[in-house]
Amino acid sequence: MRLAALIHLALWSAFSRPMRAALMIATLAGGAAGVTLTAGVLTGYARAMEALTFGAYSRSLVISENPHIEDRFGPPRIADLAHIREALGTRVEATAAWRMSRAHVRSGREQTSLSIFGVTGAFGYEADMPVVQGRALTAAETESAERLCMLGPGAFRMLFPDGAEEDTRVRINGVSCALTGVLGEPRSQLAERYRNAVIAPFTAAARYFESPEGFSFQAHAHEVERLTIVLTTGTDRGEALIDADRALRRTHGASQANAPPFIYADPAAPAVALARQRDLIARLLISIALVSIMVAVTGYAAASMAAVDMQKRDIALMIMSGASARSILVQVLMEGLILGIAGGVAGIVLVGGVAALAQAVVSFPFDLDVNVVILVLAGGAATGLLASIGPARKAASGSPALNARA
Amino acid sequence: MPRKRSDREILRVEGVSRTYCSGREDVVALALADLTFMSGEITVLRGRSGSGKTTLLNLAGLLDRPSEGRVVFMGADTSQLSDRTLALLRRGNLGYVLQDSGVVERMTALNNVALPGLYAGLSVCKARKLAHVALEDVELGSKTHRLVGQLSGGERMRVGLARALVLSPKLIICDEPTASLDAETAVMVIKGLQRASVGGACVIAASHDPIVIERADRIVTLAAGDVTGDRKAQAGAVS
Repeated sequence: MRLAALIHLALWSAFSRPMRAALMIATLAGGAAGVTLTAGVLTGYARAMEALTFGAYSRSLVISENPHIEDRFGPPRIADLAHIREALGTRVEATAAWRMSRAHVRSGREQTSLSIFGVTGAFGYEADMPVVQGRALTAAETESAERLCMLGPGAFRMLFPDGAEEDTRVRINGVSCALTGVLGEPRSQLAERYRNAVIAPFTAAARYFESPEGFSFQAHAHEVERLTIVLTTGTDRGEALIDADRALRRTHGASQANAPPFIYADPAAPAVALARQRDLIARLLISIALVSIMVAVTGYAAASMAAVDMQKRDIALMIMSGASARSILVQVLMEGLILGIAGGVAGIVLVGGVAALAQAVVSFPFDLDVNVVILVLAGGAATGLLASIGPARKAASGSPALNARA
Repeated sequence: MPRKRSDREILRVEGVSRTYCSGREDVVALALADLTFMSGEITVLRGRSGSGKTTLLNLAGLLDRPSEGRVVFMGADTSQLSDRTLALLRRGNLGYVLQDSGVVERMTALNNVALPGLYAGLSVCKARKLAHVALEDVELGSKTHRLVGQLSGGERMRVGLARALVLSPKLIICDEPTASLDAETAVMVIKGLQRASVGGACVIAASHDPIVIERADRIVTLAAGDVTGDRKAQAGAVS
């Protein structure tokens, strides 16, 4: 029997009783929807976490002023980087020191107020953005006092709505500054803070670009808003934190008995909290998916078995028309395959539609990956096929002589 | 000792009996039948209800296996064949016309008649083309796409006939083909069977209908599972 003829008959058999087909598709769609929902939400959480963990930045110690103690120590200082490097040794992959202020920035006719980040060291871990025009500040430049800067994509559009040529200059709080490059779209959630900002060498920012009256951060030239210590992969973060704290206490004369002079933030903390939330939801969703699959397979197998009973006479007549037991077996399996795929498609469409509607109202992580779609379709097909084995064998084994006259 | 096969022989049953198990006792539905059926011959099986007509038709139609004896179809001893080989032997070589028409109600007339072609390995297009011609032969060319369930009893029977004849089978098994049909449709059915017979097919029909009997070449009478009569029919004679 030809494949086209087999599909023709299986399609007829599947949809000759529309109510039964709808029931079987709905049963499988329930299972497929459970799996799609589970996978979609878990993928959504995974993507959200990916955006929060920022790759190597999640392995960082971020040290800043402790506002909860008496202002004896103040903010960390740029020299603290050297002490921490010495204390942690090879456990340090990269370091950066940042200070932030606001400034009036002007380019020809355009003028606006922007955040200005002064940085020294490896700024790319946090400002994870491609350079789309010009070039990035070099490591040597970030350690210098040269009047240079880079612009985030939003800042560039505000200052140069018609684009800019090479060797363009901007004025930051009235001081002329050469624009070395323009950054592209942020690749992480963290990098969003640099979208509408200027990044300049730390010393230049402290010495030239911060206005006398200041905006939000009034600090001495050697003080930093935060130090970022990126640890090498595999480093025990807790031990590194203790060693860094010990070194900073020694340098700043803080007793071990007192509260730490600085705050050690964990950039991965939001991701860890989200992971806990995800694990809880994952357990719930996986349970729902398993129950959905069990209900779908059982329901489908029962409906399929009942369908074979209903089609007993039709099958006998097909055998009398030349079908072998094997043809009937393959035909019923093909029918299961078709209904299984239809159930998978229905489940995906259902969850996709509901998720799109729900996301328009409330924000929750949901991402329907193409691999999930393939997996659900394959699962639907496999369920349809496996659940049809029993009914197919039953259909193929009946007596045509008796059943045709039933 | 096996008999020599005649060139015209289509089916031979030799010492065939069929026993069914009913509770504690065995019921003999057919006992030691010896019959040979030739091509171009219409044989009518007569007998009361329970005489073994349907059992003999099932055995002759390769839908059942005998408890004893052998059924030889086109020279092949079917008792030695697997179910799959039997199915292959049925494919294209046998046609069935049942009392209730034996059609698939939820299928169109065209798809019903195309079934034997599809199972015989023809393409969907070719099988449907043949089915269309067969339906035109039974004057249903205008109702090919109607669901069989929407057709009248007579039209359904004509669909069943078209399906039985579509691949010009060697053997046509009919179980009360004209019962519950009006005379006009009954004549159309029997004429269709006669055309097949003239074309070389062997027709075995269980029937009490005088319209069928008077057109038969041979009449076999059964009673309580035994063959009690086997005679050539006289043209126009209805006993």
